[in-house]
Amino acid sequence: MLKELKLYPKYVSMSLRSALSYKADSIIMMISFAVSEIVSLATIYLIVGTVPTLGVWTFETLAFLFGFTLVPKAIDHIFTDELWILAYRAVRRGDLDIYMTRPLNPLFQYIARTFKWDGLGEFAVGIVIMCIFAPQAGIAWTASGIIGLILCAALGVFCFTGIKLLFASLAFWVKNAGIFLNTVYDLSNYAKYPVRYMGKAFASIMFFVIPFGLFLYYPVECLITSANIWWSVLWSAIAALALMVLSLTVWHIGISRYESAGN
Amino acid sequence: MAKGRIKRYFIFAKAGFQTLIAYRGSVLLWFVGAIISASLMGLLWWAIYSFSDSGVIGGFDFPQMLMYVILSAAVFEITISTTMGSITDDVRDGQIGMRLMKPISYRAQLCFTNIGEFAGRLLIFGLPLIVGGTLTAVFGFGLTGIKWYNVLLFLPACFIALMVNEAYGFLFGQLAFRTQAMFGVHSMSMTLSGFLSGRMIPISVFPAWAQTALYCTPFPFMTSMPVRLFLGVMTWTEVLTGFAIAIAWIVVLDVLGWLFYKTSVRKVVVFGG
Amino acid sequence: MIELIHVEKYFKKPIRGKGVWGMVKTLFSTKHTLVKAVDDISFTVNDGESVGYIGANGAGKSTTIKMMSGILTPTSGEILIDGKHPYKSKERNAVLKTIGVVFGQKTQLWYDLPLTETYDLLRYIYDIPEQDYRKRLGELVELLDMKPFLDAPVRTLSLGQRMRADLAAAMLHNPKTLFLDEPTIGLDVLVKRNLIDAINKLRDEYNTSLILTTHAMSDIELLCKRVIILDEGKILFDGSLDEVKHMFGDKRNITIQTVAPIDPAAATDKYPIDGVASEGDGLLTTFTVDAQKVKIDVVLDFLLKTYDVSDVKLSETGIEQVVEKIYERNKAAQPQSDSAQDDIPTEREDG
Repeated sequence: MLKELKLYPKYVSMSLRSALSYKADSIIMMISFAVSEIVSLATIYLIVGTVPTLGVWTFETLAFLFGFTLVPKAIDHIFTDELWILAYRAVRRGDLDIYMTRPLNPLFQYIARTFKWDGLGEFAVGIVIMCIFAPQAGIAWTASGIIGLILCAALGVFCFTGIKLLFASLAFWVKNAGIFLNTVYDLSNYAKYPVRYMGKAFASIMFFVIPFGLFLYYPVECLITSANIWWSVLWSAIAALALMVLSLTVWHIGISRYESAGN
Repeated sequence: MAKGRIKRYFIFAKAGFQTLIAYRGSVLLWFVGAIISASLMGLLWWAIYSFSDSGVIGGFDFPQMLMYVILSAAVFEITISTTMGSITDDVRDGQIGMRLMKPISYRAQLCFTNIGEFAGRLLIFGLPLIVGGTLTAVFGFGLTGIKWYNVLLFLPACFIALMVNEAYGFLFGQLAFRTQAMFGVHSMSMTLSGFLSGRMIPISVFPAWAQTALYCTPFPFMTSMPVRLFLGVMTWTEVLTGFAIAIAWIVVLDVLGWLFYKTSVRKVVVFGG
Repeated sequence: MIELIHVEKYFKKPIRGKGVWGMVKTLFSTKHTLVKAVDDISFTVNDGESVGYIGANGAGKSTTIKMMSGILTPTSGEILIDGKHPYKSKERNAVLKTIGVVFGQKTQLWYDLPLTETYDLLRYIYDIPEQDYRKRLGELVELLDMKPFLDAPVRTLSLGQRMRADLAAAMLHNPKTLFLDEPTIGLDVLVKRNLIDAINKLRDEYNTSLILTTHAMSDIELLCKRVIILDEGKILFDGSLDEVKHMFGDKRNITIQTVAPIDPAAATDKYPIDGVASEGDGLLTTFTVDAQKVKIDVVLDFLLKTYDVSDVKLSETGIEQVVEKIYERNKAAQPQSDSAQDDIPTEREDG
């Protein structure tokens, strides 16, 4: 673990210098993310506009929620983007071979290889939107609320990573788990809406099965309704721990049955 | 002569169909994914409708909106075009030179591969989803207003949607000759077309000015037109002018794509694909 | 020391139907065939030995090397490298520090960065002390003649340069054993020769054990003393290179193209020629000769003088021919037990 921590900055620097050859590409990616965030926010605006009220939610509070969901998503994106390749084709192409012949954790080598700095754009958009809508969202800001929210965002990163690793690892069984991961990952988009009003069944799924609602929606709902945000910190921590344990277990089982390429 | 050419086109269509069938696991997962996302969108609208005073949003009652969501998911999955992806792969892997030497034009190869895939998607994906979705909406939620001739016209409307998507993809695909970042270009073009075609939310929910503007673009023909046709909310004049304008757009997009493509091919010749 | 004890590796393969309807059916079927890529293999490699692992495509040689280098876990049996299992998570790191691996078709170098960047990363991964690293890198650069491209991004290197660079990467931590999986694949003759020389130099310099897979007999000849021939997941032959040569001779094919069909008797009467085959309406004639019995250039000279030759091709007997011979020999030796071959599944691992 210590060795990995010591090596990580080296990996980041190598990845950043590699990416220098593709500056234009990264900028196109950033623009593409920006467009898709604007479209998402516009969709929320249009949907909210069709009804006079939406329970405790208004466009401003939903926009704040939207901004918040971007933050853990962006951080996870910066650090573990390579997991998408794992889901789509790394197993089929035998990309993991070289990592498995070196005396260092293969998962660490695989993930550390890519540091996606263009995710910083997404991160900035999230923070800016939160800052714009925080005053209008009618939230009674306290120090405890802000710290709680930051903690939730941090734990949310681990939840995102756990969910991605869990479903990407299915590629060891199905070779291409990309569509699967994509479907699950897209669920996170629904955590931008009032999950609680979308029926008991769905809310339960979003809280307890694939807990995007728990670590993305719930913290902001606590703030809006002036509930105790530390409950959502606790729940996010439980979700993060459970997801990390589960996903690492599935990865370990998966890698032991890795078949490399050519079969 | 003509017969041989048609046969060659058919070979590409058949290959497209077979490729699609070959990816059995993926097809099944697309299927599940589309059903899940349509159900979620339906749930979201159900929540929104519960706050609505009139029970009508964007001219649709809830059963209609539910059908809209199912159909737009189905239309998306059926009419999705692989053209941009193929161009990207061909340019990246250096296959483009080989493809240009084939006896039928690159443009036609891509187009007919898509037609084959369209047939495959429609059969194994579209039919179950649309039949299942319609039965659910009619018997589960009391949807009315579906007419047999609308269902029948839905098919050519889907085909037109495919052609619009394909031409749009070919146009954007030309960027593959100019940048490596096709993943970004691809997702951007998909996000834009998804939003502007009425796939994410019906165009009738947009502000009036935006609706007017959108109807001057090819986007509504990708999703909105076939879906509204199926739902029976279009008048005959709207349907006929819709078809005419859509075909005009396909021509315009193809001409644009062709002009763009000619400059791309020059790049291949210069750099040797 | 490397020990393989009754090692087996199976792969599951979905059964795919033929034709459009077959593909539709494939969609809904979950049937698998079990493919035995490696089927009960045992052998031992001592320190400092060089072993050529040879077989046709799909014989299971890559699978074996991948199991020895920690990538794949055997379905059954045991692999021990100095007493440790490379595929067990607790013993992995200790084993991996003592081996180096090079894949002909994959690189472990960072594509967009100069070579030295990858080497520097490997220094940390393998915990190589700074001084040892400097010394060793200097030696390798010298030995493999890498100075000219040491600071160029890997993506600009030729395949031959890249292979040498990958070799250096695998040798940096002074491994006891070097695994080479198809190192010469895709290289043209001269580059291949250079690479083989480089590998020999490395081995002699550092006394490294060498295990390499290839489907070209000529690679083995130049690199190894011991040969293991694999076919359909089973060991067909395990012995010295001399033994193989002795048994099968050092056969070469001389193919001549003539403007009119020829009568080969003129040549067969004069020289000890092992076989004559003709194709293309008698215009292509192949003479198989044993290089240990007669000099190739003498025969070639005679052929060129005797016949109206428009083109000539020299080739070695391929591994397929050798494998065929071994089967023939085994069959002749044990006429009753030819059923052993019948239970080999038809599907095979591909590489």
